[in-house]
Amino acid sequence: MDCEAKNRRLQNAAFALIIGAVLGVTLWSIHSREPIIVNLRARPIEKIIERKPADQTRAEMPKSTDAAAVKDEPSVDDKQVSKTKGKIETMIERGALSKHPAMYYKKVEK
Amino acid sequence: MTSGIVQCELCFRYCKIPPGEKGNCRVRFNLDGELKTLVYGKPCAVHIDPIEKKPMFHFLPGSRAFSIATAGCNGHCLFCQNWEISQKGPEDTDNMDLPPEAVVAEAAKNGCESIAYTYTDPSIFYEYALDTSRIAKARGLRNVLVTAGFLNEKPLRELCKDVHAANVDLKGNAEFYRKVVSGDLRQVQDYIKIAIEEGVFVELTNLIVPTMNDGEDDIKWLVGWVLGAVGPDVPLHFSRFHPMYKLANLYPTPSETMFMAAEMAEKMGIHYVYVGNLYAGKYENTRCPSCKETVITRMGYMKPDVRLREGRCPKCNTKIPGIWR
Repeated sequence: MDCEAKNRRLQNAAFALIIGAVLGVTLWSIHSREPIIVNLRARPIEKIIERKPADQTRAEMPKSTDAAAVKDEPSVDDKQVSKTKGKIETMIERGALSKHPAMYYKKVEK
Repeated sequence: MTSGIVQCELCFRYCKIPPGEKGNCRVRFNLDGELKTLVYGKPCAVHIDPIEKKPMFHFLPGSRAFSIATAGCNGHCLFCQNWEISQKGPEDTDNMDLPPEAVVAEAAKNGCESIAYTYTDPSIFYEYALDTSRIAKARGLRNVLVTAGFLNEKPLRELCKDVHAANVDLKGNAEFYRKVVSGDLRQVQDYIKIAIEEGVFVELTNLIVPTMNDGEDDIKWLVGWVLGAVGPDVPLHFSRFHPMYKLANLYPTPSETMFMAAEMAEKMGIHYVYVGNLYAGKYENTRCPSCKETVITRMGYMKPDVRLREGRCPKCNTKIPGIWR
């Protein structure tokens, strides 16, 4: 067999191996429904709920070093409320939002 | 003499809303002293889904559900999978113009056997869901609610008149509802009992979130409540958490935890236990609680293989609860 044909056969074999490996991993991922790319930043959140002592059967959880992993929302100020009110009323006038009467409410007396 | 302020009576929050402002759900608006819904006929999500996706496993298996949602929600789960529409007002989402009659017409045109009120929560687009479900039922379509269960008794009983089935989230204990969901456990428990009382076929879903409601005690408590309050025949789905919204840094629920929960629920006496959001083998299938024969085989959202005969086990004739036709 000449060199060129041999090289071609080696190349084809290498391609087939790579394609086979990619296909195999993809099929395995679909079958097991495990993500291929793991979230490397994943870590447990503590202190949202005070946990009871861990069960003996559960693995030791690594401790979070961040003060809070949960984002807080900024408080809404009056300017924002008025901006939203203006936007909503304009959208109602345009028909982009509904002004259908709501059920189950009452008017608050002075 | 009124103050111009209105008090919404739809859910446990009883929001007092001054003129020009919205309730906690972001979709009920005080317009000049009258409460209006901003989202009637204005869905921001419209899809056709397999009914198993809701998840509903004992309701018209293999059928398609015409699924709608509007912006907003009266819950604020830190792990919300649909936060991009649930935690926004309709002034910030892309909405369609789709009045109730059009929803029903589109559902029928697309060969859907049911309409699912889902993704966010039908409680907050109450009037829209109510009117649509009435028209749908009159035209022979079924109605399914996919809900967190925050709705007061009176509006709930009214809505149930035209609803055939519901998947209700039972997320955790009272502390979990306060701290992680900003919700009310008692209302959800009442919702489940009232819906069943009104003849709605109910399935329950518990999303297992690592480090928060994934302990054996959490599962034991939840299953114990289900057995005591509504019995072993209400299907219970355990759903795997994936990092999302304000818990994007938390790892997905390990599969061992999911199967621990399912095995515990079965051992404690729940007849129909399922695991979702991962390949779950036998926990995707329905088995007869009497003879253990597999009566429905499922793989993901592919069309299930249903072997029931008139809603009964083909081997021992045990009635399997559900709406099969």
